[in-house]
Amino acid sequence: MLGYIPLGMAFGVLFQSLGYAWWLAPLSGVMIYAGSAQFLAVGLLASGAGLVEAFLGTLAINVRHVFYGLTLINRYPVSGWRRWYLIFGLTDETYAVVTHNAVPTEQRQSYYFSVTLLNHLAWITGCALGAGLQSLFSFNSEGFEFSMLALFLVLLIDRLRQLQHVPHALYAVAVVVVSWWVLPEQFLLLSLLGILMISMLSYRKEGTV
Amino acid sequence: MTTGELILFFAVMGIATFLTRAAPFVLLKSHKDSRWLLHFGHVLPVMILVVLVGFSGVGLIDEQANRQVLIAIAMVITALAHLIFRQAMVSILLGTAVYVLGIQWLGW
Repeated sequence: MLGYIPLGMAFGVLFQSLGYAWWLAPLSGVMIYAGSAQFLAVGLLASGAGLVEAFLGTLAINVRHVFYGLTLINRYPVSGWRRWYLIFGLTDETYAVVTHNAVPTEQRQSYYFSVTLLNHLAWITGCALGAGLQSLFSFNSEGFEFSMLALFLVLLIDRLRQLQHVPHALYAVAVVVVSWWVLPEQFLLLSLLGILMISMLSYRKEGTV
Repeated sequence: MTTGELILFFAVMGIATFLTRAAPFVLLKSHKDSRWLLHFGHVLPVMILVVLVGFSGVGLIDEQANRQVLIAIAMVITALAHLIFRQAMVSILLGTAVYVLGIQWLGW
């Protein structure tokens, strides 16, 4: 949530460069609700891409979300409209927050719902603020995009305070470096496949949780 | 593109995003209590965070090739602030402020 206001604002400002009405930026936040995909949308729209490209591009950039659901199947509700809203709103930040804090089982559902809704509202607000203010003042918001990196870094540091996670973090660093070196244009997909393989190997090795 | 076409464009991207998020919940219903999934839940989050840090950092580098030093400085400041103060908001704002000032005032 903390990173979403400035990041949403950066998107809103970027979106305004396309020349559409400002309220369409928060509407995309309501409908798509995926930071990197929305940044991608600006690029696609600027280059006149069609719906098929938009669909495939979004699948590719968001395929990492498959991994998030994988680790939350046992924790998210099994039915009801909240289940589908929680799944719809399972963004990078929401995933990071709900897996970050230990919450008693009986409070989990309301906690997950609050986090998802607040993140969504923060993102929509950021999109609206960025596009609205930009259409009023035309300010320079270059550099706001760092807030996404800063958020992931902060969450990673918090997780590493539990030293048991350090070895897997180091494996992941190796995977990231190798992926970047081998195939930079498919960096994300390759990295995710790499850490999935490591998860499988460490499961065989340890044979336990 | 008209406003209506743009909204259709958003809808297509929204559906694609939802499909990626819903896939494991719909496809893996029968494996609910497997130790396999618990193991993933234990080891994947920290590794995904490493990948996301790499992904975000690479995204910044791609925009302008000579920003690596500024990115590294802003990351070190974010990390130090977080190790010292343990306040996510402070760390993120401080790191982002350094990055924004580096670009906008110092022209990095």
